[in-house]
Amino acid sequence: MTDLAIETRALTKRYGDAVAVEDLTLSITSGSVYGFLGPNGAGKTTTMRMLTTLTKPTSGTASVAGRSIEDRDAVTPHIGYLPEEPPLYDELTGREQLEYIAGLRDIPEDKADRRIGSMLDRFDLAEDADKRIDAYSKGMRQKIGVIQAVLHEPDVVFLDEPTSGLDPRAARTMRDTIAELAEREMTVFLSTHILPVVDELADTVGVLHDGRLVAEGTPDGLKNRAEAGEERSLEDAFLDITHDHGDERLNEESTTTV
Amino acid sequence: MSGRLGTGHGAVARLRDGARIARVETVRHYRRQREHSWRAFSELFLVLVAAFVVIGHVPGAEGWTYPDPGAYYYAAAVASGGDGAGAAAGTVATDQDAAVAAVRGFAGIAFVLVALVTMLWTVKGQGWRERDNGLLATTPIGTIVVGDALAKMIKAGRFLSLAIVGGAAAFAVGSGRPLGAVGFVVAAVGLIATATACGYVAGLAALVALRRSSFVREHKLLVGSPLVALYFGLFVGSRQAGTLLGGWPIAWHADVALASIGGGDPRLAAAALVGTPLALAGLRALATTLARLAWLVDPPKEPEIDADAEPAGFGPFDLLDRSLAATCSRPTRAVTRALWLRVRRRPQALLYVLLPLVVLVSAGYELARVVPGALPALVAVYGAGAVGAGATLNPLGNEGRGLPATLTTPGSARRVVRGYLVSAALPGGALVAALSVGVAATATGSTVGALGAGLFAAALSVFLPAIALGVGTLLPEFDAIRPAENAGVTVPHVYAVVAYSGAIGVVGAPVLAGLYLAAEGATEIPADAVTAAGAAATLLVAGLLAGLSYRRAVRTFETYLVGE
Repeated sequence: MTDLAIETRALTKRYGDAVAVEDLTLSITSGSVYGFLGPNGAGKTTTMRMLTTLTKPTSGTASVAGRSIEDRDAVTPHIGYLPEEPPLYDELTGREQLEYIAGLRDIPEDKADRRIGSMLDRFDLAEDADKRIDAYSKGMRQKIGVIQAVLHEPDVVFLDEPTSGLDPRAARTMRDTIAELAEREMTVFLSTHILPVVDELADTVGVLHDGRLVAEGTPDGLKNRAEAGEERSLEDAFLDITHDHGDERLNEESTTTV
Repeated sequence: MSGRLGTGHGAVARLRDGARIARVETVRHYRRQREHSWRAFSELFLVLVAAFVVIGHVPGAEGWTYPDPGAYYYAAAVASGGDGAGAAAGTVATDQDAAVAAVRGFAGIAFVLVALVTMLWTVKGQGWRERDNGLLATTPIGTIVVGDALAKMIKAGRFLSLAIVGGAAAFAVGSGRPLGAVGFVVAAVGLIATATACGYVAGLAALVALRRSSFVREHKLLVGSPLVALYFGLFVGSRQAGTLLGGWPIAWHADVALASIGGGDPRLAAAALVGTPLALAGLRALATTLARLAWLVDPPKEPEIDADAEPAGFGPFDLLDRSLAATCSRPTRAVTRALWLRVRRRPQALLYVLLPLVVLVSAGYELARVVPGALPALVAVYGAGAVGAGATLNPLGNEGRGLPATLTTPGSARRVVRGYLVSAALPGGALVAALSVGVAATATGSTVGALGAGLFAAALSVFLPAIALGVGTLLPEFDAIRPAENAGVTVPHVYAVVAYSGAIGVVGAPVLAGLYLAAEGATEIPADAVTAAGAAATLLVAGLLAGLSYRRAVRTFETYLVGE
């Protein structure tokens, strides 16, 4: 039997009458990269918040690293999370921020120093590490956020738009880092709008639309889902899938109205 | 909202577009309040308190109205020449002149308070324009200034709305002249508009200094402290402040209200009525110039941290840092050190530390004359109160954008709350305990008494910051609608400050009452026993409240949900 890093059953989140995520069922194996796609407002961030225990589901169940998401203390030792807006303190320097998180997570000082130093080097941040974060560009913040999320080598890491705001070189470093994390048997739950990143890295891709999982499979599987013989990119497939489902929703609505 | 901004440059277009900006700002404020029911409740509380104070004592409604004289009493005194209701109430004003002076003093204090609060809002809200991308690029700066100032006038007016309505009614009933209500409203509106505009200009001037002078930026706590002390001093020493400010032109608005019931100086009333629009026009022009200087400048570059030159990075905290390393776990140490660094670089978070200190100086001066032996206890209570009035009074707001990282770190709730407590209690406790020992030694000459005072102060310096943590998690201050958008260390919410000030009063009451009773010889129990019982009761109350507050703070972090 394969270990599941993330498992959800009919996970649903409602805000009043609005449905953010509906009946989401996922089974993500350990050590894989799961590309989570969807248009703006599809429910990706809400899903990530539920899986990282930051938001409670309205109904359904989920476990991360074998622990129920209802139990924050059980889940958090095993996860790392980079939200869309990196959770950093503006008044600290990049190095101080990372030392703070290492201390809060009780990572031994010498081990933390080694990891911080090597990650800063890897992301070309060593020279800027002693500047305050409020002077950082968006890309630099993003890099510190990623280092912070994986500093304790979690089993599962959730990355919400990790390549957002990065220049091509930094984006390449980020892609290499994600690939390396997967090689180390870390499960990566990756949400991004940059489809080539998912195409290159993801073992499985899930497409969320209006809170529902409307397609799931390997990147190649999704690309070949429509007309056989036609050469398609993941972007084409994504646009087709979300367009089809947008049409379905519109038809349903017009049927009800009529 | 419909329509385009910045399509005209005339006064009417500026006012119309400014009103649109003010409307958006007001809606944003309303929505932020709606997100947190406790904040809405606290705002209502302040609105009611303001109304009670302004209406003041009403004969026949004892127990339901504020005990000190207000609009009703002074209106009655002015209208009757001091022989009617004034005499019946039998408290302060015995003649018409005294009543007129009191009303002017009231107006002078109100003017300065509104101006100072507006100044604080203006300085605190400096980031909104950067966040509102495009407004500066698409709208004339004069229009933005009008909109921003209008939004602040609306905000101030909302806080004082009930006070204006209630005060107007009390003024009319007290004087027996319905026209008094109209005069009161006109005076209040004129006062709020002018005071807000003055505060706005002062706030923009402060912003110019902050953004263009590296000296001011680096020493903002030092530069801003006298202003904050003045603000708190107005509350504490209102009688003396009223006498002083009542003679200034800012108090002429009072004569508008007084003239409507046949009192005051009609020439001053006329000057206020004519001068208000002129002053507003002048202040608008000044604000536009200042806004240009404050807003159209590159954001100040923060000084680079030289890691080699400053390896520990804590300056005077070096000794404390070493004791921290010896006594605290690594996670607690990490939180405490990070907080010290953050607060040192953004010292405005310590703004309200001055409030208990101003109370201490003012009340201490009065109390030292009546009960000299109470001074060490007062130093302990209000000194410890000041210890908790910094970052501990807004832990959730200070975490802000960092919350997702904090909350997804195992065991972080206890670690973070403990770190906040240590960050305040360790330096603050040492300082207040030393001060208490010094004051007690001077006042009593007893070594045992001095040591006891030091221990008492040290204990309170742990308990009161713990209480602050509970209050702060109940009434957090976020500078954005969504907590996760809070940029950094944030000044605590004024409602949290009010609630915490109440808690300091509750904690200090037993020991101060004990000392007073002992000094007066009011009981047959030996004075030392009464004093000791008072101190013990204070420690008991503080300990209980601290325990409950600390648990609440931990629980809030444990169960906090993002985006709910």
